[in-house]
Amino acid sequence: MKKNNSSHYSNNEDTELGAKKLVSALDKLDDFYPVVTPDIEWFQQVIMVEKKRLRRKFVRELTLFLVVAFSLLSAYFVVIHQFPIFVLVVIQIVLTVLPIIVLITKGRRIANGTDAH
Amino acid sequence: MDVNTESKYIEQAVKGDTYALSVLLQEYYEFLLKYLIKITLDPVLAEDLTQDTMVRCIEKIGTYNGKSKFSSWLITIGTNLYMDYLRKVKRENNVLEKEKAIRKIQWQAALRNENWLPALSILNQISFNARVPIILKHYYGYSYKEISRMIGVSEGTVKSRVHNGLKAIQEELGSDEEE
Repeated sequence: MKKNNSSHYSNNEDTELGAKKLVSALDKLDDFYPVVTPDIEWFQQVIMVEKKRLRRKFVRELTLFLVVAFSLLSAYFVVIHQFPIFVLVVIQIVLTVLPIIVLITKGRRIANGTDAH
Repeated sequence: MDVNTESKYIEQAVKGDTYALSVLLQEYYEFLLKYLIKITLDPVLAEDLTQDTMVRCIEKIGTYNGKSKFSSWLITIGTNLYMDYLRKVKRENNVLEKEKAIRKIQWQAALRNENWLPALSILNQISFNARVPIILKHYYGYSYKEISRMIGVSEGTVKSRVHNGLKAIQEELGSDEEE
């Protein structure tokens, strides 16, 4: 897997020498710690266990998302059904305030010179 | 494993084939562990990081697009996990931890009746930012462009880190030899 042991960077003899000594030291390090690769079954088992964990995590997160979404929608429908005027007022306020906030933020960015456009 | 066989296994693994992925992980296990031992200079930590890299690989294999070699992809994941580890425990400058790790390697060398190599002590002293690109460049032979993609810094920065790091190593080695 090792591609090569030579330096390509510069003609600087110091760095070349340093690199050569380093490479031979790292080769020795490989000898100090011989690696025993586990068999294929071990890897398959690790993958199975990990895939199971990922599936469980996905189901948990999806459930949480659905519960939160359902709760928010329920609350929204209850409010719109019980206090329709209140919802209309909130929507009006948001539609008025949001463009103002966007304009102010963009103006500040242009003034600071951080907006690329 | 030849290139065609590897591409076939990668294609199957991306599609979710457990056997193909296990073949790839087995093939690169030694390469990954040895790389992590070199950058951490701590075999125990390197083993933990290898396990974490494999787990991350299993999680993200569906997003592997084949733009870089599979080995480079694993190195990128392993290096990022090591960076996260250093950020979390803030041990990069912890002299005691570093000395402990290097003593373990010295002990291993002594057990094998090998002379100690000062280059390893010096490599342990230089910062992670210089250590990783130096190893990737001079031991594994990656290009500056590949290294810059792997560690997420510009090519110029990689060049200067490698150059300055090697200069520092040679200076230290030179002063050791004079003593």
